[in-house]
Amino acid sequence: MNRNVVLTGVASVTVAAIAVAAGIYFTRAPAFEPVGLLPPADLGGAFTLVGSDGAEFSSGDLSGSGAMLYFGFTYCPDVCPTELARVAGAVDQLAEEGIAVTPVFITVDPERDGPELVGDYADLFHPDMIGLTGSVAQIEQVAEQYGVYYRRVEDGSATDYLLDHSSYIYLLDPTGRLVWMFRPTDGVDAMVQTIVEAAA
Amino acid sequence: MFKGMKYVRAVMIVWAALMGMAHAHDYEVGELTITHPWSRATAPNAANGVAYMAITNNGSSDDVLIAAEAPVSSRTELHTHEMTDGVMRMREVEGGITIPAGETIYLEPSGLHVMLMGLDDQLVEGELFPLTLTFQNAGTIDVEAAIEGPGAVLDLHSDH
Ligand SMILES: [Cu+2]
Repeated sequence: MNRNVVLTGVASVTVAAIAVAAGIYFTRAPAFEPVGLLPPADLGGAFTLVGSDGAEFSSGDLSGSGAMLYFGFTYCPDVCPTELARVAGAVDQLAEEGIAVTPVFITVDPERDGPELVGDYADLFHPDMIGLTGSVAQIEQVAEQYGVYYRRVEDGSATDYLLDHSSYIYLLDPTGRLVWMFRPTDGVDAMVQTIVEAAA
Repeated sequence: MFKGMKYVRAVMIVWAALMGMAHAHDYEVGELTITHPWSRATAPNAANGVAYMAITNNGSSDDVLIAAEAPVSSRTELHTHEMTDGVMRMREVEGGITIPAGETIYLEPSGLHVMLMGLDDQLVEGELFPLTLTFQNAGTIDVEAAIEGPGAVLDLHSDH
């Protein structure tokens, strides 16, 4: 047996001992409560939309990192900015933990939200945030895939309307699979901790 | 009296520094105190903006915020939010926002807000814009809203 093999063996035993100790430590640590929801198995999937440069953007362009999707509309100054700032905060905290997640904003108001508007809106919240729009049919399809509810509030005006919309943050893993959903009541720190634990 | 006012100002400034705000400001009209009207920065061509504040009724009868007006937007509405089954519904508040006697009502993210519709200009963080509030009893007052970050969530509750 040469010296290198012995050293490697000692190193392995040491690593194993640390792992066992860490395991004991973590099982004794107070139970961590994950936040959010496990998405129904039929939700999610690949999509093709339009990026802020007007060119086609597909979910495959996100591969290599996780993604956090939020569906809203740029005419929304209250709830959507709150949620997008939470996405941006979570993405930054996850980066510190070595977990790369791309923040993505998808409009459910494609008739008013053109490529430039969604791009400028996404830029407000995070330099890496991707703003996406698409044809009415493309947005209908991606919303259906992700179980996003949205409906125009009829007030008789063709241009000055509001939208009701569901407000979840969707977490995709680096292969594009939908793995988790977060609600507006889930704190940023708790979302980050949930993802860190799940990734461990 | 003047000395007392000065002391209140100083406390407000310290509080603002603690809250990490550029500054805090409040206004009095009749029996009402309007605390720190604020807003959020918008994207260059954004259509809509928002304004928040706390309104305290120090009097013994209810008052109602019936209108808000801002030169930065072509139209202004008083809105609220309801969330049911994960769906956010933003609606105009019929008849205005009641400020019950002796209470503080908070206009804050995901709740009551002044909706600025049809913005003429981008709202830039660190700047101020004028806002005129009209109350049923206390009348009209001009305030200035401080523009915070695009997704800012200020908590004005700790002031009371
Ligand atoms: Cu609104």
